[in-house]
Amino acid sequence: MIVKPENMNFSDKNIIMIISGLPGVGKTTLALSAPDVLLIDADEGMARVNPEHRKDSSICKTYEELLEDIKAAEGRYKTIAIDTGGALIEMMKDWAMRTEPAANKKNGGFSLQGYGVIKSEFLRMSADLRRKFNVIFLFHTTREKNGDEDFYEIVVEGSTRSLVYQPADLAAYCHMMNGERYLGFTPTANYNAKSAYGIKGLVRVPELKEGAPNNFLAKLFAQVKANLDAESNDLRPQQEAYDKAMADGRAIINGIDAPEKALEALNAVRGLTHGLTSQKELEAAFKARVKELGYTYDAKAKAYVEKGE
Amino acid sequence: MSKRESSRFLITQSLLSAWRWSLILETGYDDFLKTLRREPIQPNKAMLDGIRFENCLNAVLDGAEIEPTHEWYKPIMELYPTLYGAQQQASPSKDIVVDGISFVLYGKLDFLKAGVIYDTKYSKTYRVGKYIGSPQHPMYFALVPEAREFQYKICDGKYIYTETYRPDEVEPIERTIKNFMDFLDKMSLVDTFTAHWRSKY
Repeated sequence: MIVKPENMNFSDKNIIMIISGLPGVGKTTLALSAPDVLLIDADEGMARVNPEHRKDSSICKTYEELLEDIKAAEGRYKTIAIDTGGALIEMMKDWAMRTEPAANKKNGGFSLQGYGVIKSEFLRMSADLRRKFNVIFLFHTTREKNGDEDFYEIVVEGSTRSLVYQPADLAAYCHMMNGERYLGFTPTANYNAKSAYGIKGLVRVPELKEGAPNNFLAKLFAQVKANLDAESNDLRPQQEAYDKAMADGRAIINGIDAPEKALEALNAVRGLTHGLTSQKELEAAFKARVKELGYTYDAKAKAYVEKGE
Repeated sequence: MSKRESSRFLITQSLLSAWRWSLILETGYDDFLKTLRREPIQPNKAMLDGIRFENCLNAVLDGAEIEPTHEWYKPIMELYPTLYGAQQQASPSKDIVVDGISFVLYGKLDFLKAGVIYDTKYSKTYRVGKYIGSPQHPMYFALVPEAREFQYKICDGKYIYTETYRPDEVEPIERTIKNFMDFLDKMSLVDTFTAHWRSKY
């Protein structure tokens, strides 16, 4: 189904978000602030949450049990929070070793093919979850040295470290600064992150006072959707100008069939009402077209001529 | 300096990248000096793989068939819908002045489409955030100020990863060029730069 920008609607868009941080920084409580959330508690994180803010959780020992609980959650919850992504990958490893013979090395270790299996499964599962829920992956971080800087790396099987960021719309590093909690959405020399939809830089997480609703992520997700709609509205006139300029410009460029028409065509392209990067794209297309036709610019004659003339 | 010689100097992202790597990698300084002297660099296996991947991708985008059994079928098919119809190899340039010195910025964009600059990379050892400090996206934002986004599309041989940057998140390229010139000055390399990077235009 092809959808025109003017008909795009993001109100039903589900969000995948990574929250990373040192143990004890409050990631699980934060995840529970998402809309209608079910926590997949592979890390026994719920036990550390203030009883006032606890929500439904799934306790599962195997990957198959986890998939069953997620299936049962369809239609009942809007968000699945997986605590932690590192524990999920370990569950997937166990599942792959039991179900995929190629995942086992002869000496009993986990094979390279096995990592391929869990990478594919992680991407499949993320895409499947996104169709039905918002998804939050929590990751513990560990401090590593990167030159003179401390780098807070997520705790997960090494070969999947980059992959887990792939499906995420947003990734934030949760940390304390001057006694206040922040989510860092813009990557820095100290941590990885992913900003999008106008959510960037440091966002302060207000202190959760007794009796106050735990709804920080519910508000953030609503903000994402509002930003998406606003961005789409802002972009629309530029996109329309772009589409028209590209169509008109391509027709002009394709119409060049003699050297003396080239300069005229270039001027016509430059005279169009442009949007976004249409002018640069069409100028590059013009260059490619005259090259293909074998024309060259004669600076003295101030005109395009056949090569070798 | 001859009056006929241009007093503007060329700056490319590969020159600034070579300088950046010289500060990070122990072996980077020799490669940087080669780049500064515009000496050819012997491509290593990783570079050759990257060129091969790029050629394969461009061929498919230009209409060549790719067999499902091809080693890069999956990542190329993943990139295809995003990059299909994009303008390849646009080569914008721009004059700027930093600390009273005139420079010509020049870049060759892999792909440009509807306000987004795409640059494909092939990296077997990719780690998230690898390109955060790269001068490439700040440089290209200076060259294409109407771009709203820069996306690195990184292939590790099997999967595609994306790093996205927006113009308001990056350090202006002028600052990087100033730091670069300060470095050349400190290392007594300004003459080498002016000898090899004078603009022809």
